[in-house]
Amino acid sequence: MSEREAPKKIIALMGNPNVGKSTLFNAMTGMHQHTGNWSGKTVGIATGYVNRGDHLLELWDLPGTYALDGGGEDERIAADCIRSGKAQCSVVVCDALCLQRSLILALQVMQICKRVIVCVNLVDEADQNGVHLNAKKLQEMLGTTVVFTSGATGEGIDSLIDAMDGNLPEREAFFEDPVADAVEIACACVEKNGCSRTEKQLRIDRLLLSRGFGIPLMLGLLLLILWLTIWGANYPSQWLEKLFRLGYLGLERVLSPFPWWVRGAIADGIYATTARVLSVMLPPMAIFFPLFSFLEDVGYLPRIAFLLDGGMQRCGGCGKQALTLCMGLGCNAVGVMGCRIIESPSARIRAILTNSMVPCNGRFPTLVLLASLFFGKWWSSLAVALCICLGVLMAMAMTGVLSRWAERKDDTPFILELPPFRQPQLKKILKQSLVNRTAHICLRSLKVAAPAGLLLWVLTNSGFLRSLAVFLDPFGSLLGLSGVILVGFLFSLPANELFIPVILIAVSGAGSIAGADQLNAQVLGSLWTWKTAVCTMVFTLLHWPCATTLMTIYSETGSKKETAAAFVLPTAVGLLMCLALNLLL
Amino acid sequence: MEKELSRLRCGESATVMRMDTSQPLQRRLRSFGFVPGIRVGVLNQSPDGSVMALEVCDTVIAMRKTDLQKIRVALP
Repeated sequence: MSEREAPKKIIALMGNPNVGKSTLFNAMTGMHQHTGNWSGKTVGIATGYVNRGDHLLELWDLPGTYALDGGGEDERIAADCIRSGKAQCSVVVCDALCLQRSLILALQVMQICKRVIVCVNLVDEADQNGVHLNAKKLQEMLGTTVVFTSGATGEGIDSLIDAMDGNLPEREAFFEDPVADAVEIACACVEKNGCSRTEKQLRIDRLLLSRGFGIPLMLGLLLLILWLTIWGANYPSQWLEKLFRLGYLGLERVLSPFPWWVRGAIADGIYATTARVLSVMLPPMAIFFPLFSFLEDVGYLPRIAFLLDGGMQRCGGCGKQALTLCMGLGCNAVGVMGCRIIESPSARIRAILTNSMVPCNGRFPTLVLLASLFFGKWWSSLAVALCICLGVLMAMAMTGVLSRWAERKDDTPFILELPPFRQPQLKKILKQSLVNRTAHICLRSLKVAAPAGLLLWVLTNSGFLRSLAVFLDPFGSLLGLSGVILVGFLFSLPANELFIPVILIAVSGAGSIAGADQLNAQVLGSLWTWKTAVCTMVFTLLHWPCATTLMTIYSETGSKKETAAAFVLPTAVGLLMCLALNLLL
Repeated sequence: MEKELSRLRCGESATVMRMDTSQPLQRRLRSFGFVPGIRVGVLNQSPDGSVMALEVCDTVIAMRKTDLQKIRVALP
């Protein structure tokens, strides 16, 4: 049967953040999810289908919500979706470990929706922590279908699907005060032998969040991750380079009967650019992403927000901005979208404008490459770490400057949940970060790299790139850069991954790169001094966001002015810093 | 003995008596089950002391001291 057939029922999946909704969603839909638009918003709601043999169930995975009257943009999307009544039935996913809080949302949803299934998730974790639930009593008191599941082990998922597919009795809401009723129900149904957090968890938190060690540990962790990335990426980079050189020779042989311009356009243009993007990008990303996902899975990221909120607060931002900066390390467009978690509209704009000051995965490999070329094996991770810290500090400083301009001090409350540490699922991390994330990013950069390679080859051969570089040279040397480097930055507007390939093609000219593809090291190492490298790294960190990010900023803010500000602000900072570095060094 | 929640030390816990916080914050806190009568415990403080980690209804949330000053608690 085809997916195009109209689904029998639409079911909305909602619940507090971090209760394992998406794990359930993936388990039920078998990861056939594609993100769909809803009510004009770009993302936020994922749609998936559950195949029931002769018919389909359409499942909406709504963003995590604390309450239907909450403040955040992401919560508003979920609440609007429920209120619109487009879904015939809602599943509220509850956390067995803190049922009382989860029930507040469940009862609120039951006031609006007539057909609600309460799904108590994470029962295995609750069991381990000595929390026992009285299923029968819970069902009785809620007066609706209650299902117990565990997303991690797959327990109860079939009965949840059966419940969604079955005919649910319509019922009238009778919960006057969700909070008080939730307390009452939770007291009656939960039997606890112990604490929600184990002593071990509390001890880890006391160390990770401690006054003396919290921030040094965080910086140490950053350094360790970068060191592992740079050290580990070295070998696969060399293998890939060898492989691509062989591929180039093979391609040349195949293309030999064709005229020179076909050969050049395909081998020196499309192939060489694509190969370079991949050999620069792939190895560091394949190591960095799993490590980062590991921290994400364990639950360390909110702790970073906790540690940095004090500093952020002084700049008129909030700790959650630190979270969006972390997301920006993956991709600035994602980071910009992630700013939805910031409740205050003006703080959210400030976070959006400064997000591109942390290096995304398109610029991160450039930093890694330059650092390892010019600072050696040991100092390079420190250099990259300093770069990231500089980016974060500049983002904070700019947030501070921007909030001075804000009309009034906004006192939006800051509440951040610190989830319990969870055992990371290594298999899931590897699959998600390696297969999904890395492959997705590679595909995306290939889509840009292939046409860009062709264009670059044409521009180089027509001499345009060279004359542009010559024209920009005086301006570039003022900034401690060069004309070629500025050309690289200009042409990497579509995707930052293109920076290194553009420079290589502009430096070596058309055709000459051909056989001697001893790439990066010699070409860059012979032309640049360490000062050039430093300035380039700083400008890599602080310049305009890529086109995708700019488009995301426009769709998130809906304002041309703010999008322009997001372009100008980091660029101005970068120009000033490079100018100062050039004069000082 | 009644005092501001921000004055509790790590490891102490108390019962919430009065909340003079802004409407949005109050709504937000309600969704965590944070209402008068509930028990809160202080787990950690951030390096600069401006943020506290509280345990409430089996959940750990971080809040700023400036907000916590507006919440009165009673020590047992």
